[in-house]
Amino acid sequence: MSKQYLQTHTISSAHPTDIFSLAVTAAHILSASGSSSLRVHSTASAANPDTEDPYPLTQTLEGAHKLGAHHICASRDGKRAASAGFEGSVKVWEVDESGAWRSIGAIVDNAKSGEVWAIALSEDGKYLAGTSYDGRINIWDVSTPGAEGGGKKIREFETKGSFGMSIDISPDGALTASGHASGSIYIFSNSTGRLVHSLPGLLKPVRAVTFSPGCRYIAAAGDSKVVALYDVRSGEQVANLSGHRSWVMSLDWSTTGEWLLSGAHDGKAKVWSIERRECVATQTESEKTLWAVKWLPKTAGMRNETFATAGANRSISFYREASGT
Amino acid sequence: MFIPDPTRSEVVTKIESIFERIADALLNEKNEVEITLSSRNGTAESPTKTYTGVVSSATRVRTRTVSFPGSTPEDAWRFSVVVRILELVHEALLTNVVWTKRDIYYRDPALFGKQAVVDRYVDDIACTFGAPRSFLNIVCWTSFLESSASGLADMRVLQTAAAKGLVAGAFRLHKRDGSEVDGLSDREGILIPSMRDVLSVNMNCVQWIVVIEKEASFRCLTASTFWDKLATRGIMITGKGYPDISTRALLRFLSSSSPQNGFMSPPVYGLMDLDPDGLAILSTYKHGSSALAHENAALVVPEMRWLGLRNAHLTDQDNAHQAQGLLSLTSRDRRKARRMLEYAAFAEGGGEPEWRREVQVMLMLNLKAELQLLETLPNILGDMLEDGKEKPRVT
Repeated sequence: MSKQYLQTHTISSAHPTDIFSLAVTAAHILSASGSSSLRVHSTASAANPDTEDPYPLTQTLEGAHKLGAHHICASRDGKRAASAGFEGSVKVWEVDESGAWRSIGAIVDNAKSGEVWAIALSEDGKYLAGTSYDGRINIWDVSTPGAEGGGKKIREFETKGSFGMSIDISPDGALTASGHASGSIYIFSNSTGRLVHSLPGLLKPVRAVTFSPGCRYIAAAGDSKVVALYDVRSGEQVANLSGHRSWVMSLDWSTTGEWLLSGAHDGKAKVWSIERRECVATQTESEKTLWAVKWLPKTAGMRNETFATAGANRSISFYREASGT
Repeated sequence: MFIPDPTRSEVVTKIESIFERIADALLNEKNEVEITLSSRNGTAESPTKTYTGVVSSATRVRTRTVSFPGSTPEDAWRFSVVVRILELVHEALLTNVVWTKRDIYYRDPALFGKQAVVDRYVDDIACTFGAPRSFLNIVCWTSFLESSASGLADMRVLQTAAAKGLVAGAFRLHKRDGSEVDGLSDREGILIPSMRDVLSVNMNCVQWIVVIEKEASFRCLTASTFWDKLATRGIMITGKGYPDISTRALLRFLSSSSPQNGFMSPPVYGLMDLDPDGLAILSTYKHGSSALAHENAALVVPEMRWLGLRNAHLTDQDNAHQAQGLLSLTSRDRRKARRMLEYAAFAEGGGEPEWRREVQVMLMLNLKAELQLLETLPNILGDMLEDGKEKPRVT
């Protein structure tokens, strides 16, 4: 049994070059690209089918990262965001009541690892986790802007030294997971600082890791093309979701935990049923790499699941589940 | 007491005796072999000013040893650097050709790592032999340029000794001494001559010029049946990595319309590895090098196009990682890629937005790939060149 998704809208040429990362809050979709500016589009009026422009551009954060930005993330409470640039630093952003974002600080990792690569914010926006080339996972306290620059490093997890390409913080804040170029996946306890699990199975670069909303599962995928599903408590692999024929670049779990969204190097996006452990929909807009895929949070007025994809075609496309399925 | 300078032949003898010592140590299975170097402490002036070997109070001479295998990888590397430089100096002296320190660096940038390493050890070697650097047949680039300042506009003056590039194809060079060089005479290509010796070229059949980054790829192509078919229609050239002045000068001469080249201006395509160095080498050919910015105008090839490898050429087939020779970027690659994003051509709003994008994608994928010789090359080159048409992606 499959689901149907319809492409409802595309923000064409949202950026002048590849869009590498997306972040969503209840009100906005933020996008990072090879250009120096981040862009913020509003998702508030999208539910209204009569709106002419369901995702208007509300803000351009000019010159955020001079050499372009490769990752952007938002806290689940929607108040904070963080972006990582090719120059190696991370900027922390805050939104005010009027919906305007502004930078409240920057983090530069002066340690030997150099550039901060993949980033994730905790649900309350207080902690930022970041990976680095030498496999270190760092966590900064970014709760008090202005103190020590953007934030104070409170944890440093060392791993076996393979480039950390992906990261996620569990919604309950207890764990941080990282995926590496070697295929390794590590889960650390944020409270004890200890390694909880080293997950087996993926032998090639892990480009995406994501905890389920209930923290029960973690999904990981990358150049092996399969999406691996693990039980967080036991560390055991519980499923292998195959179907992608290309490197998987991005994963995102739906808010209910029922569906997993993946985007790949060949431009295909897939929706997976966790319960049935299979692919239920495949969307292809083009053959151009999808660098980022994200579910939009379900807000009042939105009856159906919506997700967004973005990548080498420089556009942000929105898909909504067709009614009646 | 007056100590006379060693003559050049004495320097050659000294180098050869060092090599003999190394060979002996290897043959007799000694555990370690050493070279003792002297270096001048703290003075930055050129050795030509302080050549007598008499230690003056102003400059102290320190000695140290480089040994192989030594106690760390760095020790072994240092030894290799010294031996390599000695080898190149030996070659320069025997062939009676003058090199610059830059030439030495570009003979083996992977070993040396950076120019400063070459500079330092050349000076140390000169000091050790008690000879001015010129006795090693190594001159300083800036003084060489100053002496030819008046001729800067004339490309043919811009020669470097020790030219290392290779060229092959449908051309005949006419040289000042009356001789001719036929680009098809040697299947393996001919050494790029100094422009100083070139009068004119006959290249009327040339439809394209392909610049190949690496010697290995060049040789593979010229040995292939692909070249059998196309050699009479084009030119292939390689600078064996970062191109020296001779290579760039010849490329410019062959691609810019002038009376001396029969008013030809064939399109120029670059075929490099997909990695930061490959793109930096392409940029050197096309836009020039920052080190020699003042004479770039006479050497750049502004219409040059990047044929490959591009990120679009990567496939994600199942054994792609091995089959394509896909490798992860090293931290040096990543640092270089990041620095390149700041170069003028690669910057936002700069002249090469596609190149900027490809560097960013390299960083995102964390992958690099080498031209896997015969397999990928004909695919990339063949369609395009046989039809004389361009693939839309080429920029």
